[in-house]
Amino acid sequence: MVRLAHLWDMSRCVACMACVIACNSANFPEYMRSSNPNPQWSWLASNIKVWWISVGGRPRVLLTQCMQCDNAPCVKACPTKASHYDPKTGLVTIDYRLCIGCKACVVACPYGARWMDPESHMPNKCLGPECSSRIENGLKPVCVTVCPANARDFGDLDDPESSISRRVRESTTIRLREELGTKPRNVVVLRGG
Amino acid sequence: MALRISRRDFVKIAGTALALSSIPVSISVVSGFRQPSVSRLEAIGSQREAVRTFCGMCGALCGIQVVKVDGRIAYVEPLDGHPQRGLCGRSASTVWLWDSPLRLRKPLKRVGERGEARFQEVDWDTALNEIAAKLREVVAKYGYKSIAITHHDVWSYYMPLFSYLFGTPNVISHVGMCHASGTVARGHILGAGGPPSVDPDYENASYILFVSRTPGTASMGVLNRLRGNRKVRIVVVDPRMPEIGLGDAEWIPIIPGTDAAFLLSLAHVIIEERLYDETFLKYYSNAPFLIKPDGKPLTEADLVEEGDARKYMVWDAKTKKPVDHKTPGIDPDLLYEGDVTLKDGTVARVRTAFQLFRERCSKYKPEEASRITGVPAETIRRIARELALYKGVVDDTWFISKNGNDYDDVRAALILNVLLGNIDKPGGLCFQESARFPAVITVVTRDGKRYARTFYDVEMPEELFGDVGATRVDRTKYRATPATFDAILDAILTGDPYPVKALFVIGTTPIHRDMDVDKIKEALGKLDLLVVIDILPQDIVDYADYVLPDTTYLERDEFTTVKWTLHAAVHLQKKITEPPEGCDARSALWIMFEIARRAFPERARALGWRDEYADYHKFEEFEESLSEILVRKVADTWKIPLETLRKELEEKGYYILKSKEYMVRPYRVALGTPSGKCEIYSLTALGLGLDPLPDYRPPPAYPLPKADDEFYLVNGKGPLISAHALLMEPMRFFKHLWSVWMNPRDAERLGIKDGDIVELESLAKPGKRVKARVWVTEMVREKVLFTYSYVGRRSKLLPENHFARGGVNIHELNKAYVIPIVGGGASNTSVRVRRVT
Amino acid sequence: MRSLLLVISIIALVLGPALIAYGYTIKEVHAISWGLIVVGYTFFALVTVGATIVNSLYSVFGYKGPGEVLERNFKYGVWFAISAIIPAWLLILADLAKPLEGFFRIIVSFAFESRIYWMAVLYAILAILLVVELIYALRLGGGAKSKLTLGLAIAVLILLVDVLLASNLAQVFGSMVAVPGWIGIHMAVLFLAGAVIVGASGQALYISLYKWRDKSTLDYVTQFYSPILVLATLLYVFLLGWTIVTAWYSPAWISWGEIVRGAFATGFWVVEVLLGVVIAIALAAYALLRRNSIALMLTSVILFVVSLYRVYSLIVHHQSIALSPAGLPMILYYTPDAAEILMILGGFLVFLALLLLGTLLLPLGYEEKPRRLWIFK
Repeated sequence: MVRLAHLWDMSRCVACMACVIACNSANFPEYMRSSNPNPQWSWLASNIKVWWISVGGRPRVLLTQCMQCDNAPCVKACPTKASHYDPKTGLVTIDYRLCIGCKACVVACPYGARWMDPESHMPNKCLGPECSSRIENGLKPVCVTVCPANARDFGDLDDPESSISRRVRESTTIRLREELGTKPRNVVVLRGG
Repeated sequence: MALRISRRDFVKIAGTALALSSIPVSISVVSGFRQPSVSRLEAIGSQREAVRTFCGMCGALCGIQVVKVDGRIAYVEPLDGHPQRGLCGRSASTVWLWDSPLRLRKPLKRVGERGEARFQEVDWDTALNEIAAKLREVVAKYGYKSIAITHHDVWSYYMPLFSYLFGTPNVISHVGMCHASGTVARGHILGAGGPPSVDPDYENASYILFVSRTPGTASMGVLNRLRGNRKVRIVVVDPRMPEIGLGDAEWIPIIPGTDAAFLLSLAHVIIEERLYDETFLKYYSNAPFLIKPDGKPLTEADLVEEGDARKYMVWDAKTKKPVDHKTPGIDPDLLYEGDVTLKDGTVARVRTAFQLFRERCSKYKPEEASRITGVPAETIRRIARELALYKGVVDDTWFISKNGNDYDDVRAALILNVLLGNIDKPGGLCFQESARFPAVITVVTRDGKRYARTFYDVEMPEELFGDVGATRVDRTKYRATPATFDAILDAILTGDPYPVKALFVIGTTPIHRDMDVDKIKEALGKLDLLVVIDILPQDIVDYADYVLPDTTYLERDEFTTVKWTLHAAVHLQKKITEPPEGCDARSALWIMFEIARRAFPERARALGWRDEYADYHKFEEFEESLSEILVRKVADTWKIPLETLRKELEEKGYYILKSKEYMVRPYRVALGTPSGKCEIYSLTALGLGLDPLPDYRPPPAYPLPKADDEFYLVNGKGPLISAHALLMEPMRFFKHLWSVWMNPRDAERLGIKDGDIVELESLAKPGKRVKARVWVTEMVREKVLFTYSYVGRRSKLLPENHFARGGVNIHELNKAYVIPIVGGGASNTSVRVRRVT
Repeated sequence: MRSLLLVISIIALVLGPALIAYGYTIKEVHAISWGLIVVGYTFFALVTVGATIVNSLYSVFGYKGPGEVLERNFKYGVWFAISAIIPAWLLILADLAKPLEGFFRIIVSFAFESRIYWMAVLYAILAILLVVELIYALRLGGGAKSKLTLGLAIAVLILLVDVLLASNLAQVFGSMVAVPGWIGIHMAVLFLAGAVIVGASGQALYISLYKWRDKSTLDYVTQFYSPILVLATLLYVFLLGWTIVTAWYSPAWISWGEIVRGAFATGFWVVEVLLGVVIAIALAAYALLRRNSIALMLTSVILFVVSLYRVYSLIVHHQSIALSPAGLPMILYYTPDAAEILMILGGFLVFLALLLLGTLLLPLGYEEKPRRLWIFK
């Protein structure tokens, strides 16, 4: 089985925001000039969120996007099966033909990884259209390739030879809010290998 | 019944409401309700094209590729394999820059008062003719040298050409407010130049100490190099946490302006615990030089008649006598202290430079340094030991014009590397390989006559030089300075040493760059002519007589060296797009030539400008040919087949001319210092009348904060900071950019909450007040406030509620202070804080 | 007078959906996803459920109430329940991006794991049952209780569907792991108890107003509804109390804590407790002891409004404070916008218009029988 996931390395990220900004121009070009492109997050039209946090008094930054849960609350909540696991990639994907914009998935996501599109009133999430297209063409998502700090990776967790699997093996990693039982696939690296 | 409605109708109405839910999909098309779009799905299967170039969103010029999706510039990626492979939020916002609604689109002529930002659009001919006429008038009255040009990184390659075009020596960059002190210190200690001339070997370092530096947030290529190094330990010393501290770097918060005390204390521990590299100090530094009681080095000329004053003496432990430091086979004594008999028979007490330095450092025992710096003594000891243990490197700094005592900080940092003997070694502080890139102009002498020869092989005879040979305004005041724009302001205001009446501001914004906004504004008001060439409405634009829209890096060709790498490398920028519809932008090179053609036609012609280049398409051919010529010259210099270089540049975008070769300087090639060695005791500084050894001096630029509500206000750069990038729409959403940072303990003490508005009153300029939003964060030390550079915009050309108005322009609160002789400015200041809401 | 009321109610019936439709076209995205529209929808759904539960005392359990008030006003009760479900549906459809295909898309998806899927199924069943019940009840006429089991079967089914519906609706929220204040069974029981309060108070008000000249009916209404309101409120307080106490040891405290003693405490203590419990119970007790129908009507008004606040608090306040991916509390600021307020107004217009129209056109009276078109007077 293919289980694609993102990896983000907290020990390498310097909050340069390249991924956050590139996600916007790559996936949501229609919202580049809008003054309020993402009212849900009070944020730019990007699938990546930035959290300034403090860990034991030490300032850190946490970047989150769709965690690609194996037990995704958004998929369970969806009344039309618009949110589903893509059979080819295992990625949590929205079929916009089925989506009716009930927002249950947005409410259901404990990572706040979805945001309602202010025009279509449909949910947006990672991967955006351009990134989906990129992975179809064998490329990594934009946020991964733009990172100057090598803080990101994307690939198949079920393939032990993939770079993401190697990095998981060589690093101290966590998954966010695992206690909820969502089985998030995305990896957060605390100490890099 | 006023309105007859049958029950049948009623059933219909009620029925509709009930039936709404079961109407199939197709009906939705005819509904009047807004329909969600699913067109984005069609992006799948789109065409991608990547154009290799280098980024121009800041001066670092990282290697990138611009990705077009179905013809649209969609995003930017770091260029794999490029020696300065980089990207950041600035670069990513390139996509917004090209057709930014803020973009300057037409030449503008001022119609109101300076500062009112009332302009009328004029055509290029009108603007250029009027500027030329005014220039001729100014020159007739005050001479060529009354013209000044100031710039930042963009177009800096062509600045010497502009200098000759206008016949003025006064081309003065931003450096006085950036790395001037560091550049002077690098020259004095290592005989090196601007920031990338020496740099840590990021790929191979095992331990890097960064002091007052935001590593990997200006040149992201540096970050990329650091992140490729899996063993390196990074320590940052700064009053605010540089962004790299968010990762695994250790951050040591320090009281602003006390870096020298910290560094000298490290040196103290390293010396007293004998952790230094004795061999290196003996043979590759001037540590064993004997220094006379007057502070001057003992030379051969002191000892024998007709002795050479450049032969510096050391005490040879083998022969027990002073010998020239270059004598082979000697064992210079690092700790010698004793009497020598001079040629006139007098006896002088000499001590080694090392002893003097050691004595200087002993003023800063860790406990004492801790009192000054606020860094625990144990931390100082630990860092010193780790530096020695890991054979660490201390970064040579970059933006350092902060507290008015920065020259000493950099000297102390550089000397630490000398103590550790970690110069030009893998993982150490290394000299950059020179790309031997052709200068835009070189002065050649033929038959006793001088010519300014351009790289494109055109010569201008010396009778057209104008005042190029005159002393630059800033050098009359600050002898050693690389550039101090503050001196231009003084010259405008006082006419001393000579009047400056016309100013060209090219791709830079003095109001957010130079100290004391009031002083800047006053000076701008006294100019006869102010021309601003830029792409966006920076604050300086409001004061311009003429505003001329420049091209972005996406709209022109350029061929230049790769800056932030130790290798000698070049890269190529290709025109990717035309300026957007309705934007009549022109390259600054064209603008300056066209002004010169109209003002001083003989100069323009002599420097190779043809009338036909007035046609912008013809100019673009010329511009392209310039890149071609440069490529050819580089190929010639390095004896690479032209076709090979061309092909590589076309395919990869860059070319590495020479990989870094370690252990060259000072081991095999003498340094540019008077002794040719690393000088912990700077003979150049001595010659300039400066203290030859670094020392800690309390910041002279501003009163130190004392009372509970008084704070240091410090500024710095970050991965989103450049004058242009900050105006791009995505930046609106990053509140840390538009706020003043305050430590949570200070905030609690003053009853200030995150997001509150405070008023900052300058302690340096009492009465000067600015309001700002507070971001409460652990990322700044107690008793210190932090603001980024280039925020707090005031331009009237920006929309009323533009986000870039947020934050504090620190130059509104500081007072001009320039380090004597060195010429570095001081941007930091101190303030009193009052909560407003 | 009747024509005037008819015109007004028909205008309102047109204006209401128009407001909802207009609101739909201008609605905006907020920091929280389910805002005032969902609150309005839930509120009306609970009105229906509560009214049905009260009706079932007669229709299922055969309790006729003091002075047979329940039996005599049964058809009004049924119409009241139907009137409330229509605006609920309109509002929830308008909250979707695709209102016209929304129901259809859900039904054909067979997304059994989704609570919302079951909402659609239950509504489909309910819609059929309500029509059947309406026709059956209206055609029955004369207040004669059916001797057939058909009526009982319909009533039992409706009660069952309604209880399932309210609890399923509660668990749309109660199974959202992302909102700590929601997750758990308390949502279902709070919704059911809350439904009885709002259904009973609404019905009491409606019947009292319709029968405001009929002194004896008013008296019986007071006798019947006052204890229901007191008991339901006590039950609600009991359940809410345990919910809050239990929340203390769970992440749910991040929002319950704010409600009890944080940002939302004023609303909680003043509206929910003082007004909704102390004053409401005191007034209802007074109404009961003194047979004071004015006091009952006042209690009903208070509880109707308090219930709206309760639904708002349950839905919006808990969404407003969530745990971030880092596991830290975060606040999402929300204030309803003009579109949402218009849509809620639209919902109330539809509700009131239907009540009025039904009262005017349908044979809801105990003795009345339909004469035209199967159901009309």
